Amino acid sequence: MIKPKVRVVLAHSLSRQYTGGKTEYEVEASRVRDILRALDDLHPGIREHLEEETAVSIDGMIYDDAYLQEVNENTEVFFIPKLDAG
Amino acid sequence: MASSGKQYKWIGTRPVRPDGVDKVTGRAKYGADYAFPNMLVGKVLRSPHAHARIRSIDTSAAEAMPGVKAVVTAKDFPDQDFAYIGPERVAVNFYHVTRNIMAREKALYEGHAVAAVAATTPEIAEVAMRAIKIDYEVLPSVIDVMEAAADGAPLLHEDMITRGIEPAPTKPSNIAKVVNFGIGDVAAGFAAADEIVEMEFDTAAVHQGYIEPHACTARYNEDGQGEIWSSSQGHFVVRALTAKLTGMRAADLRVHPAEIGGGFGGKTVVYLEPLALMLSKKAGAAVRAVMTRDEVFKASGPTSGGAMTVKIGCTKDGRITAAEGTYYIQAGAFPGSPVINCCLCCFAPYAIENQKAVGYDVVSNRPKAAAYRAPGSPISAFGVESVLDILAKKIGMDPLAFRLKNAAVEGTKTIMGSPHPSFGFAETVEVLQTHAHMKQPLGPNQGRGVASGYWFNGGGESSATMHLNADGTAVVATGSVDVGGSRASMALMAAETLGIDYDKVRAIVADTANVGYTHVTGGSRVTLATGAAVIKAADACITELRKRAALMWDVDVDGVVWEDGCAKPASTNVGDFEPLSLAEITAKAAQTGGPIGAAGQVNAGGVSPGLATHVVDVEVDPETGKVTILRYTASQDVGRAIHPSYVEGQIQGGVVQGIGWALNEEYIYGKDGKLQNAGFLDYRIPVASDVPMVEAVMVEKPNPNHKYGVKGVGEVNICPPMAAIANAIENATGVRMQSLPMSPPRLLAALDAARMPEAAE
Repeated sequence: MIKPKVRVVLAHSLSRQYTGGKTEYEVEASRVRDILRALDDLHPGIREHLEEETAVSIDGMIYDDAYLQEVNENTEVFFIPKLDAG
Repeated sequence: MASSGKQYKWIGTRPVRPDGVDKVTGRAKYGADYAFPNMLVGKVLRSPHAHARIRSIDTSAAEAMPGVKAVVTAKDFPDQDFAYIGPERVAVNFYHVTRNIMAREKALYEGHAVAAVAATTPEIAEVAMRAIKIDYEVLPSVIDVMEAAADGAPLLHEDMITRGIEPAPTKPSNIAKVVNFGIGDVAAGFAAADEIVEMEFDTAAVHQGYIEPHACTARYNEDGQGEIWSSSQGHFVVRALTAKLTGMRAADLRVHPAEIGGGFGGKTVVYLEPLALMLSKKAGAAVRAVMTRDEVFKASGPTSGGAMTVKIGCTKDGRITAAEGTYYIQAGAFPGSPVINCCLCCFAPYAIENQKAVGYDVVSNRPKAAAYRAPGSPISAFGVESVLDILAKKIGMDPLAFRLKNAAVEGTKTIMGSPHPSFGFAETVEVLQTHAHMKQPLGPNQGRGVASGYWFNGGGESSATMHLNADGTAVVATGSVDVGGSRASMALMAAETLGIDYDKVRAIVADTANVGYTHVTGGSRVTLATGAAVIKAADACITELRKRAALMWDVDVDGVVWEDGCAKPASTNVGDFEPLSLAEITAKAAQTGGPIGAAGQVNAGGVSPGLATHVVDVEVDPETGKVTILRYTASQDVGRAIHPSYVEGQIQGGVVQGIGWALNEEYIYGKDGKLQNAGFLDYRIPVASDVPMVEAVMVEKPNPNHKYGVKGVGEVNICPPMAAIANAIENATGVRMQSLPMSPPRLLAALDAARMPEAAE
């Protein structure tokens, strides 16, 4: 099945740590889980960090647990520092 | 209240609080109210020094005393690996946590626990503590955040290398971490500005000021099982932390939630629980430990103080072109200040293309900072909202209009680059622009100030169970400690979802063995997240009720719908049945499959932030520097108010705490690093006579991601008061205050300096 291409953005603080400064990606995905897999293929080990340390903003809505959230070609997905309870 | 329009039967009503009778009659049990046969008294021996190496501890004389049943020191607790666990913003390092509950190599602040005693009476425990011999090597201490961050400062952790800098520094320092956030081109943004204001500010560390001190009772049984009764904001977190610190398994430790006499973030961590449990294990009897007020101030986390530089530029017509903030935030004796929150919240209400924030997490010889209502955000808001006011004056623009012109909306980029979700900031400004408060005339020495604030709000893990009884009533059990009225809001959402009356729902808080994991009551998360768990459980019960009705009618379940608290045929094709009420179905539960109940467990997302704008009128006594709050109006985007009275109470409570932070509260240390005002006589929190009626204006912009539109409401209200009051003071006197608190002596000194600049020099 052909999956839509989704724009994915990492917060600068994460990109400095894990991707050598690269912040924007375009990956084929129908769910957030696909994005995590695709990024892990590019940067082995990043998936664990993203799962543990980040929340996911999907068109502005923030999810701590976004594995199964659906995305499409118009979706913007941001990985940002997790906004746990204060 | 600005209404969102949608009509509900129970959501938005104001029923009497379900825990009210217990509380007004004194029947409610708080952390210090639990007692067991042969229970012992637990007391904690604390360091008299702000910074000292512990050469040795000799407990033998204390242990030999009649009536002393146990003594514990750090050696009774397993050491922990050095590792930051969890998301960076709230990462926990148990190597530090175990050293905070009980000093090991060094005592790092006055009041740092060094030993604990369990005895048959408080008097014996006191005598035993005096018999414990500790050989200290007293070390130089540092209290001020900028002094601690400077080269050559006494080091608390001699091997601490600053994280967040590449390449890593080679020299240790008291700066635990540096964080950077930003979007756009800040230099270009400032180049495009017509006016730029850059100023320095500092805020004092302030305590949450909960009236109930930390208190717990612990019992360790012969079979290796433990139980704790404690006052906290999250008994599951008490269980997780205590189990880890004492080397127990989570399933072997059961934590019971006591009622809570205030927390405001300060009861999301543990101090006494691991000590009492370990004392109980050694003594073979239950141990109760209660902090004195002196201990609360000296040994439990206040929120951080901070020092900051804020620079903002704008065009003559009021468009902000760039903003930059640098924040040095006190963490206390161990890393972990809310510095990331300072950075992420500081400019969040505004649409600013070019913005940057840099934060420094700095340790010093103070108690470890803990959360306090929107931790971090009020600190940076004080600087940012003060500078915005000055800029508005410079370009001759009304301060509310300036904020409105630059208001972020849904989709505006945050400093992280991601867009804002549902965002009711502009509405909080607009509702004040037309409010009667803005038209009230001001007299001599009086001034009006405005300011705004932002808080993320939280979601996360919550659990609920729902049981339907044969008489048609329901019991809802959640794992959320009821700090601000969650029993009522859970019952309201359960009643609305099930379609039954509110008074048929009993909401309770269950212990760690009786409901699933639930994160702390903090971060303005409970109504959203635990509410989602309750709704999920209620929906599951409705599914079961439809099945039971289908059985009773002998039809397919798809032919049954749930409306207005009744099962009804989905269409006339299903059959001609009278609606079955919930009570009629539960009365037949035994005949149709047994008890009806369900669990709801969520990791709630879809969070929308809190936004607030405040206006305050003050009068300044030019002879004494005393500030009187004349009138206060606070607007807030509350999503949808589930129980409006509780929401108003949250807004009023946040404002009053902000007034205390603005005008009086501070930790006063001597040159020896010892706290000089560890009590409510000298650490002055606001009392009723200090504040007028605070008018709460609820702006309802429902969260589209929650069934009932919930947004968190508990924290953002403490962000604007400090700057709003500083702005009002300047409008009253012409004097700009850049340090908190703006207490009478400080303000009088500033007034004197303005009146006689040569005398002040």
